[in-house]
Amino acid sequence: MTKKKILVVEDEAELTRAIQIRLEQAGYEVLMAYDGKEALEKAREENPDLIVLDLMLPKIDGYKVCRMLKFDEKYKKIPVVMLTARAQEKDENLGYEVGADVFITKPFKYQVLLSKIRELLGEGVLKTP
Amino acid sequence: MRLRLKIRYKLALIFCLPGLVLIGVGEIIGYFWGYDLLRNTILVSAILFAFLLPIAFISGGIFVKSIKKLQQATEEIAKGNLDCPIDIESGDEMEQLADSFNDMIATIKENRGQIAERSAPLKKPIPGRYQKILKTSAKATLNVLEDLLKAKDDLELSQQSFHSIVEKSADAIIIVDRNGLVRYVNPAAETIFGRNQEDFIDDPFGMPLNHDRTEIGIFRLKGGRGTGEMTVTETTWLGEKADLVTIHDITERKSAEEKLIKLDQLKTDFVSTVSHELRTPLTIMGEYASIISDEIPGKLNPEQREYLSIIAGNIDRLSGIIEDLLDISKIEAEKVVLKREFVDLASIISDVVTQFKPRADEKQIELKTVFPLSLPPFYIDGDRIRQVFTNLIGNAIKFTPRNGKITAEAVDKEKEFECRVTDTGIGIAPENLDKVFTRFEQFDRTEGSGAKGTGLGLAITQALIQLHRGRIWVESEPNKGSQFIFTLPRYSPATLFQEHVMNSMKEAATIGSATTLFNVSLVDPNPLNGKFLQERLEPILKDMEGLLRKSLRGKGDIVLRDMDGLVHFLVNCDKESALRVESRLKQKLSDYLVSQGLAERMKLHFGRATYPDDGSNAEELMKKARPAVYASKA
Repeated sequence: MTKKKILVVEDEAELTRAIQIRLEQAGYEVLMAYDGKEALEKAREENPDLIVLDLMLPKIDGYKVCRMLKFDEKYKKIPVVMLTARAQEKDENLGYEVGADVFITKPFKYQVLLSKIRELLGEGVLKTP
Repeated sequence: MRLRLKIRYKLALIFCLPGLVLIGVGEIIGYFWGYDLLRNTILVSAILFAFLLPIAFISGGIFVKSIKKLQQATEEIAKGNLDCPIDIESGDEMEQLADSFNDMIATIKENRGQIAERSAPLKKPIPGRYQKILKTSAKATLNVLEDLLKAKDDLELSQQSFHSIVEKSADAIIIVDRNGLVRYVNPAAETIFGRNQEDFIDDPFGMPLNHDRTEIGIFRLKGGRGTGEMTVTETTWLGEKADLVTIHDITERKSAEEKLIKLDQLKTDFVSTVSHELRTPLTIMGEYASIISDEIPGKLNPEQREYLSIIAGNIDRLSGIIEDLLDISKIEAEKVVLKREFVDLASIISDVVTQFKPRADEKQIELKTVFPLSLPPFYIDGDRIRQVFTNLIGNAIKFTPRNGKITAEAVDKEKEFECRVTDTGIGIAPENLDKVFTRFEQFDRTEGSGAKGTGLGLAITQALIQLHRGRIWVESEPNKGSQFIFTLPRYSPATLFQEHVMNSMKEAATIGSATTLFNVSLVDPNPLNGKFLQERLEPILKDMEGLLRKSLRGKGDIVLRDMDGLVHFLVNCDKESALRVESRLKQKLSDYLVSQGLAERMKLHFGRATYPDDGSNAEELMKKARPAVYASKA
């Protein structure tokens, strides 16, 4: 079975790397992007199976990236996990409005991220929250 | 009378006679004694004197007598006595004068008599009835005068009052008649419009006068352009209907409002920015610590493991402090909104207790829970109440010495629920009791695990309970333990949702739109599989709720999940759009069920009712919207 591709978009390089380490450990292939523009480019080039998307991004912010992908026939099926340190309710609502599938706030427990990813990729078993 | 001899002839005689005599005498003396001049002169002068003196007296006497008579008579007349005729019979002008005087007196006498005659009747007393009339009308006149004077005073007073109030008012006061013309302006109005009274009166007011408050641009004496609030009320002016226009300067208030909005925005930005900046490095540190701890880069020796665990522990500690600080800032900036839903309180409490069991065991503290067999669902923010219990139970452990006991309970008190966390700890000194919920206040604690906090826990707990519209307090005595009690108001799901529905309907009615109530339920048509699926129902419904929330995209929609397994939601749309919404959601939820592998076992049931089409009040709507499956249930 080929590895599933996950695109991680986060402008803090260290954090991106930490996520990469974890996801590769879990058996995924990890692609990285550090700003909105790069995120769109990589998404279109590589067609990942899932995108982990931070909101505060240079060039084009996370919301716009999500919206652009979700309103595009070709890419709207890709699940998006939104990541952010901002935890206001309106941020979350806005996130859902642009089509995010899951919203996670930082700091997050790695296990949470992993289980959500598994869910979205249809791999995991439903856990009782 | 006819003059016999005029006075001048008498005087001539008087003065010539002695001269003649003098000459005669002189001749005789000259003849007999010679004409010695000096001796003669002296002699003559002496003789002259001897003659002249008596002559002078006599002549004086002749006239003076008459004059005296006149003078006496005049005196008498002056006294008022007219009966004194002047008696002079000198045959000259004096006599004439006296005669005229007498005539004059006679005439006066006669006139007096006539006057006396004529005024006699006036001196008679006025008859009684005329007196009375005079008295009454005099009194009446006096009264009228008094009233007039009083009215004048009142008028002055009211003019002064008017002046003090209207003329001095800082608000502009304008009277506009029914034709839209200005009839009166006070000085403040002159300032605001920059016009004099004369330029104002009888001109059209120029602005529409609806009986509401409107904001208008004004010009201020000090400070240029500003904003005024104009209020119009009905009144009368000089007996006719008119409008009273008052303009109040609200420039300061407006700028204060604007400042407040800016400040609020600043607070929001602060909270978000600080959140982000503080959390990012912490996340990174935590991630790497856990990666190393999971030995992904390589195995660790015991010391490395220990030191790493210290690092990780402190990262968590720092995280906790920052979260607390951010929490309290958000709560104080009023940026926290509760995410209420129906939760099982018992399970929340149990979770927290399980979480703290290790720590309690460490100190050999007994940790137990007490709740009634059937607690109804609580309409609360589950995460926040969990936070409350975490704080209270954590504190209890911190402040209870070894072999103590901690109890967490929930009690149904009819109108509300009471939750209590009781410990057998060191208690709180009376002087500290009211400081317990204050920020940053910390009291002595016992030894044992549990990091030193920020002193914010109880402050946050109190704020959270208050947001839930509950109350929290503490009962404690030193060395006798403490009991923290808080209340949560009781909401029945039906009434609560009904309220939502009513509000939504009211809104729709005001703006003339429609609103639709949807119900979705997941039913297992095959109850044989019962138990297993019942357990799975919870999370599925929760996911469904999440899905619905997302798809509805915040268009004034409310999603509510009740313990019946029904998910209710309201959408501001009319019947037509409702059909489309329903089919879209059906699709989404079916997809979801398929993805969960439940499509075979579970069936989705939809119910729908639109206001105003399907019902005019909340009950009707809710009844209509219930899926057919539930028709049997009330």
